[in-house]
Amino acid sequence: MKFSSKSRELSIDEANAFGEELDALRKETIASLGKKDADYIYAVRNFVRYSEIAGRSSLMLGWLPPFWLAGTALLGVSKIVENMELGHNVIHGQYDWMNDPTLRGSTYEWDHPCPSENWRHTHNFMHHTYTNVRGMDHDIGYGALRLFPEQKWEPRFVLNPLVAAFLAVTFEWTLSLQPLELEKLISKEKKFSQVRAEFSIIAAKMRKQLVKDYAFFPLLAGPMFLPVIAGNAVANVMRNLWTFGIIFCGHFTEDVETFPIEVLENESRGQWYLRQLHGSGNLKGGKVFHLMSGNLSHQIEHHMFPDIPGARYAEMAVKVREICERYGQHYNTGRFTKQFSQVVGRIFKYALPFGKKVEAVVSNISPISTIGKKLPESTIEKNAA
Amino acid sequence: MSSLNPTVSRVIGKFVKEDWLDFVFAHVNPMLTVNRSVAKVVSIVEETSDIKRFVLRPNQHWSSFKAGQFVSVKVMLDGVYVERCYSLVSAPGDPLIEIAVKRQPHGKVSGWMHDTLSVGDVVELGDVGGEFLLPSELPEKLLLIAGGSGVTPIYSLLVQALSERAAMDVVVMYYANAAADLAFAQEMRELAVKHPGLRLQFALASDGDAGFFSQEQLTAVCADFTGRSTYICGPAGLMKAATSVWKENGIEVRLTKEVFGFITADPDAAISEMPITLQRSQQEFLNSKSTLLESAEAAGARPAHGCRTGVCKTCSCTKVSGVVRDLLTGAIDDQPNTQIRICISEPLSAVTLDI
Repeated sequence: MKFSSKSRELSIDEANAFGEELDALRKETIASLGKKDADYIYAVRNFVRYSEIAGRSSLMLGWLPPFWLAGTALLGVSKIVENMELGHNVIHGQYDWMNDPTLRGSTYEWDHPCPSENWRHTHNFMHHTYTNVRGMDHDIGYGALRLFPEQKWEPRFVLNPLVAAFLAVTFEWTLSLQPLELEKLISKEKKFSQVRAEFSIIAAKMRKQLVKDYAFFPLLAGPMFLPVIAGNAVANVMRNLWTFGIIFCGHFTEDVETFPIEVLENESRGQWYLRQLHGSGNLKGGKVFHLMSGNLSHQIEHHMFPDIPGARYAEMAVKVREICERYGQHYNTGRFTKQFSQVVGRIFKYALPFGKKVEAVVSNISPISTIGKKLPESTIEKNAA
Repeated sequence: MSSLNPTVSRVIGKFVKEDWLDFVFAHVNPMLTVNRSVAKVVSIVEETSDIKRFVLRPNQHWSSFKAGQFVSVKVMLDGVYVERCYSLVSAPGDPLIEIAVKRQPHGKVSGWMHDTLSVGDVVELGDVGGEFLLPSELPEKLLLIAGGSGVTPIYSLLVQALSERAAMDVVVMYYANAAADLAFAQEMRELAVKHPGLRLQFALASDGDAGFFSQEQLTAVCADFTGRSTYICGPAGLMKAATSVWKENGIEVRLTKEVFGFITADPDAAISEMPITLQRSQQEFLNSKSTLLESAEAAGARPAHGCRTGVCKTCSCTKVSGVVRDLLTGAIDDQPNTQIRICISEPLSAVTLDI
């Protein structure tokens, strides 16, 4: 596998050895999971529950500005922690080992308009298996943005900054629509009737979220209807902006690479680890920051070990970084401000038809047109091996 | 506030998560749940040096059971919910239920129940199960054979049989190491006083040959064993010896066995011979490939799956029973009702999946 990057190219044997070291770390960590991890996730869940109860109660007195502010902030934080540290991680199956049916990845439903069922497919399967593989990982620009020179430029990408701002504010809703791959309507790869059929399951979950935040709780508040509705809306937007920021820093910083579909052929476990490393970026921060980001601040570790509890990434990161250094592999990390400014840079830069000459051949594979198409049988089999 | 109207709970359940409601209810009363069956420990009595009897008061979600069945008890140990099945020794229909738990050597759950579980604690109960039951029409004569802690379901069957027909002709043969290890001995002696048709035979290893099962020993105390419907529960050695005696006499159909403990991996059997059951889709097939997913597909089933490499967990499902090996880590999982990824699991015994 060839990297244009700051990383040294590894021979097949080196890649295998790299993979074995990470597998050993994985094994060691899984073996050590126990009461501490269980207590932690229960504490997180209790925090989500208590903060939601406190936030929503406080909003019931929303005509008093301090209560409105405190209620909105608490509810926003509660939603962020539920989506990030609890929901996202639980849906990955990080706590399946606990054997607690209420924390089971295959059935957990989160406080988000995207049905967990869809998320398990587009995120857990497509994005995590085919991380940053052009034409396979729909998270490269979500079909709406151009963020890499390897993506073919189209006139619609001139609106990149505006589209990105719109995505940030409406992230929960637009992310829910991601599985529909609406951009295929423009390229006529998909019919409207097909989109409508797929939308029904999403619509049901969206309705549930809308009723909860914009009908049930406001009506419960009676005369406080308006403050509650406003508080809920602001809390949801808070969550949207924050998750957008964290998630975009995960895969769209300057040093992040994308890969042609050919890398999947005969990809070894070690090479898979390398692709996860080169396709992700970390964020430096304190304990609260890691909690609020659902430990996606350790995006590299999350991509290498998506089914290991996020709270363990911090300690694993020390070893992962050490292993990467020994193999001459670049470990992409920085503070949020630095990483996010690089993301913004990409959003603006690739709105214009900047390209990459070197990879001209590879970019024949249009990222958009191959999305969702079946891989050649042989690729899947090899990937499974 | 110990029960919640089922219709109300169903309506609320449509909008609110069950575990959220249980969380709220637990602040009022830990016995109040939406669906889960939980029970409070009422009393703990030491029966023998390694068997304790626990009397439990279940909440409103407890369902009924039949004599000879067991209930699974779910406890959280080191962050993991584990389940173990224990025979119910109280009479069906009693408001309080009772289980007898033998401390297993290195047994995590039995050890925890003996050392940590206290009166007033609340434990979660799982399903009631077991096919070790008396027929709906009681046979003429019964022979009940118990070995060690296998006495628990045997005792239940005895009580049930005598309550249905007080004058029943029953022989109980109970093998134990020493007199101090006999559980339920006092109760059985009292039953024998009340029911002249009951004959008790305690065989103790401390007494030499007479304390060990053999056809001679059996014939000496129960000459007409071939004419009796027989129920046996005990250690593997006893079960095996009895089975061969019944086989030699051509009366194996009259012997009902309770196999307790967990299915263990059979090292001799070829992996391709393991029978796999998909419970919900009611499919059965023999394992033919290296992973459960591939075997299921080869047999024509279509379980949900994604990456096929153990990353995405789309294929995660509940393994109801059986032993599997995780091909990525080599870890062996022999616990009931655990979550496994079938794309990286290899069966080492018969396996039942909730698919």
